Amino acid sequence: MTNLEQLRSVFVESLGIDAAQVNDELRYNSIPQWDSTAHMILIAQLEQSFNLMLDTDDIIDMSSFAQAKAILAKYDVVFT
Amino acid sequence: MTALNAQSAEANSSYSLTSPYFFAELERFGQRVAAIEGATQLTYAELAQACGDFAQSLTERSGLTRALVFLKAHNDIATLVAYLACQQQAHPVLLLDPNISAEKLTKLQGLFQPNLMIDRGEIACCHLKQLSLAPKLALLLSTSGSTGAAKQVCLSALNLAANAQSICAYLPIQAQDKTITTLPFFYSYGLSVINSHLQAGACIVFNQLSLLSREFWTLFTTQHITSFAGVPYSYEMLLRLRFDTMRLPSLRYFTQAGGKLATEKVSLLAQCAQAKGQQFFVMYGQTEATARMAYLPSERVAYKPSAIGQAIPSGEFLLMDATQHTITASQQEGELYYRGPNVMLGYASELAELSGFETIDVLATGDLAYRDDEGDYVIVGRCKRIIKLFGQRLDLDDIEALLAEHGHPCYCLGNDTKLQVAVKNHTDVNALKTWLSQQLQIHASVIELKSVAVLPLTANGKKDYPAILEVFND
Repeated sequence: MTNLEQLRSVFVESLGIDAAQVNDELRYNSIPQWDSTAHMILIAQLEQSFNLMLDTDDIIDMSSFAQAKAILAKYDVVFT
Repeated sequence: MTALNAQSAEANSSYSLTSPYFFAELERFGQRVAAIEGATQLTYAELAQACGDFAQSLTERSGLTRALVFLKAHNDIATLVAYLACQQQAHPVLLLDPNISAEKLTKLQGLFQPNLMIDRGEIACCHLKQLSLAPKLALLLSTSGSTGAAKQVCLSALNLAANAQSICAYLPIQAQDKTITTLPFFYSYGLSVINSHLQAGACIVFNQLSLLSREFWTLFTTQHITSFAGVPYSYEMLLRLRFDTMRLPSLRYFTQAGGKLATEKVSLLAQCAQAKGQQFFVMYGQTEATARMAYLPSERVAYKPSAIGQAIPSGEFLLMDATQHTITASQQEGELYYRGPNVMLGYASELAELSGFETIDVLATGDLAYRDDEGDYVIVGRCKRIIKLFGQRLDLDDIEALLAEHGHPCYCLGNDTKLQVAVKNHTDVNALKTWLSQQLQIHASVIELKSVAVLPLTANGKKDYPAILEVFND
């Protein structure tokens, strides 16, 4: 599985949504499924799945799927 | 219960308070700031005036001596004014989750027939018939709104005032303090923060932002917040946000209640507080006791993270064994009972039940506990079928009723990490799980839902939960 596929599957699982809903425009609080509870579950799964530890600013700033890719890139996760 | 009743002849009515109730004589704090919301700031004098004006509008709209009010409780000043004005005028108020579904609201309106409906300061009149309302009735709070159960905890003004004063006696709340709303207004814990700060003449910053937003932390630092409150779930979020590395120089203390936070997390927070010269209080309570029943002082949280401490000032605990006899020895488990001026009037699920209440001498908490050698209490389990997920209290029987109402006979089990539902012969368990998750407003990942051929009964005709538990353990 590529990193991008892995990221998508984390979003699908944590937010409980269809794969089709996961795109760069997907934003925090824009759908009922991505609320603060789901956000914490998402963060936990991202940390586990990519084996990293996000800092406070990154957790707060991870407000869209596009943003998630940008933030994970800082932790040397490469999306091609 | 008989043993207990015989023991204490004195009823709650003998209790009297030294200071004015938190909602009365607000003007005595004069030019101190009472509330802040965005760019709006209200002194106590201005708050008193706003409440007086609102009370006037209430009278003009209904003309009733005592109106039953439904109030949509947002974390804002308009809600605060409406709530206080109703308390001053002795109009009983039912605090609603502002996000309540239309279906649930209609059901509640049908059951309680409120005279007035208030939302963001707007008063809507439903009917002008004088209802039969117990003289002491002041506030109605739901214990588990999300299941749609109508059951309300009914509280008196004395309940509210006594609990606010007890809290002021054990938490270091000062008139110079500024707290921030991190819990819902309609939740007993959130409300107790508001009441106790008004009691002390302190300031409340009204806020609807999530702990996960940058704006929240900007507000926190620019307003120099001195304290905040959180449920286990809030602290799980905070720890994930690396609360230990956050620089919050104005923060003096923080409190945790609303369920059991994992012991190692309590310890972490205690260390974190100690390192920064802050205080961290662990507290225990229930809506049935207005909010608070016990607290563990900061210095003891560090070495005794699993305890709930001792009863709050003016309250007391009792432990009872299975034969309803008081346990006096330490280290012996029993059901925890509480007595104090903050014990509710009673429950009500419809209007007829609001006309009078029998005195509850002691409150059965439904929790199992023991007292340690230093007199601190430790909760070891629960005898009621109630679980807490993400800080939200869920009554398993209510969830069974909700599903049955929608044509899905089932048994519900669970603990504070998951809800387990066994539904009879259901073909699409995923769809039902999604529906239930939306109904209860809890994340689907904590729901385990299985279809079973039969809902087994025990030999004496009771629901056989252990048999169902095995289905989940397989």
